[in-house]
Amino acid sequence: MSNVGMVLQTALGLILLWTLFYFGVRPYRIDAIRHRLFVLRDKLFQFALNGGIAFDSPAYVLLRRRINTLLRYGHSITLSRMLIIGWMGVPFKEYSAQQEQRWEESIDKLNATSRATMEMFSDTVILAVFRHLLLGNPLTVVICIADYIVNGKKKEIEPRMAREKVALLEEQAALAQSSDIERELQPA
Amino acid sequence: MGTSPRVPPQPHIRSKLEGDYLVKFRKLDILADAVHLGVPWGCLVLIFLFTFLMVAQLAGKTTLANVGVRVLADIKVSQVLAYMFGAGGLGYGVLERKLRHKKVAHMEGHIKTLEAAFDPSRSSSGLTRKGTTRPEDKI
Repeated sequence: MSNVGMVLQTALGLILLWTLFYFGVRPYRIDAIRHRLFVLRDKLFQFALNGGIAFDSPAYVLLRRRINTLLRYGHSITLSRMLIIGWMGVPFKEYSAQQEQRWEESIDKLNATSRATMEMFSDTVILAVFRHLLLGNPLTVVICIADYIVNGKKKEIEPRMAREKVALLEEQAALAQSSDIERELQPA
Repeated sequence: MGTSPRVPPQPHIRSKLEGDYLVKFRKLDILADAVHLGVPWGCLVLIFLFTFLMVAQLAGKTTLANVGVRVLADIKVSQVLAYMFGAGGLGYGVLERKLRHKKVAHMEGHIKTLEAAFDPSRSSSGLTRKGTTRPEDKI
């Protein structure tokens, strides 16, 4: 094959890979995170249906609204966006803290069992979104694999990892929710 | 999931914090969208640019028509089969995806009705009936 032929075929291959990534993998990942969130929302509904918590309880309403916001803005949950917020979004931490306070107040009113279950649902949502963020970037995937090979699945690092995940996700959740608030602020 | 007719709420600022937050959010949102779109499309532009430069360099004085003929002559049956396999896989994926969206749209109404029977004030994700991003939310 001539050199020109090789160049053109390589270019065609790269363009096809780009098409696969942009029009195939990207939309699939958005659908996948939405599916996981829908499953969690269904489990939350079942929990309420079985008498675990009232449908009009502030904790239920808040968590469901949070899941709905993540569902709607699932396409905006990207690592690049999270990093931009992490580096430049100082006021978001204050906003996240306000949201966290509302959540804490709402679950304080629940009994021990319901509280534990609602916290579990909340953590599962955060971990699902964080997993989506990490696995969306080839570089972070390589880092995760390397970390797994080097450290293995050590139990003692999990709580620390979870806390870091929660802190990062607060920024992302705040960003997603803000779009909703912004629309509410627009004149009808 | 699914969109329900929503009455637009009256405009109000809930707190000064949220007001300040929204202004700063808009700036970061524009930047994040630019990065989100710029990286992949930039890569595509680079592919075309480098291909053009390399072909221009290698082709020398040969005309574009000659280059085209040479490339077509170089293509082997095995390569054609590989491309057909790739395109077929892509097409299959697209059709499966469309079918899944149809299924979601079909089930959406049932779930909504059943859940509303127990929770009349249930909130919705605001996605389309197919479970996809609303056109106005797209980046």
